Amino acid sequence: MSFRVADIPLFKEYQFTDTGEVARHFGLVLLPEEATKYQGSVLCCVITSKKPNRWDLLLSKKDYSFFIMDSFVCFDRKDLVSKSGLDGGVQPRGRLNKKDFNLAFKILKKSLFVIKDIASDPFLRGAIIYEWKSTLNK
Amino acid sequence: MSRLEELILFILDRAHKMGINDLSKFQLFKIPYLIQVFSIKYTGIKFIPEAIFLRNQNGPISVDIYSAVEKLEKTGYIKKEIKENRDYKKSRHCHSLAKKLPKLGFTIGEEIFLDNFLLKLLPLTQAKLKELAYNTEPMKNIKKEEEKRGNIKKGAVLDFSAVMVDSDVVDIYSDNNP
Repeated sequence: MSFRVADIPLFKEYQFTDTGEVARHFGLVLLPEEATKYQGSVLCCVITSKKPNRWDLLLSKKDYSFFIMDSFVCFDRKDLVSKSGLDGGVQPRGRLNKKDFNLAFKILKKSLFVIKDIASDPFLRGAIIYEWKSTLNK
Repeated sequence: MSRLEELILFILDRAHKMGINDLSKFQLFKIPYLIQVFSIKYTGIKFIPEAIFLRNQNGPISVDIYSAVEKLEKTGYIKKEIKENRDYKKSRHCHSLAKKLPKLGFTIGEEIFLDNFLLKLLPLTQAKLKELAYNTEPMKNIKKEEEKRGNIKKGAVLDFSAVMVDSDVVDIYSDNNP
């Protein structure tokens, strides 16, 4: 299975790029897997049950039955996460619905210019904007 | 090694990894040209600032790419073979990597940007690449001028200032600079 933009895989070991910390988390895929496969990873935003201060999107449990509680996509950080950390079973566990995709893109776009992380590289940012717009227009 | 030389090696490396044995000169002109256009459109920056593209019979070509390929052949990074092309009934110069890719100076972001677009461009036929190149602003503008003149402006420099930066990139820049 090759991940697409807006897929939601579950990682048993989601490794944060900046701190190296590892934890069990869902992730939101920001770029098609083919674009990052030579880096040996998938570009994701972490999804957690704890609401960050800002740059978040609420994903309701009633819309995403694979969550055990309402969860938040944290656009305040982006990580290149190794596929070796994926949980077993069917992947991805789900995918953003149309309504949340539109909301996510708005928050993501702004975060790409404001938050200083790996995705603030203008080329990585450009690729993300291109892919999300292409998906939006499909 | 110049950024353009590195880009050519990177493209040949990814072609090889995708199971494409070699690339024609046509592909080596059109793919970097399209990368340049996508780069301006989605980052506001030229990927290969040093490269100048000229209008030729079949779309954009670049003397800088000619020179870079020649240099890479001389230094042993690229090998060139001449093969018959059954589809076009002409011989074709086929370029491939002759040795392992050296360490290149691209950032991770640049590599991912390139991979994202090469994934779409490398499998395309020459006809499709030509169509894409003709659909870019610099080519559309020169075609308009040519229609007025009634002949091809062969050798004219293609003007990248006509490439519009994507509206979402512009909007976000505006938000940052109120």
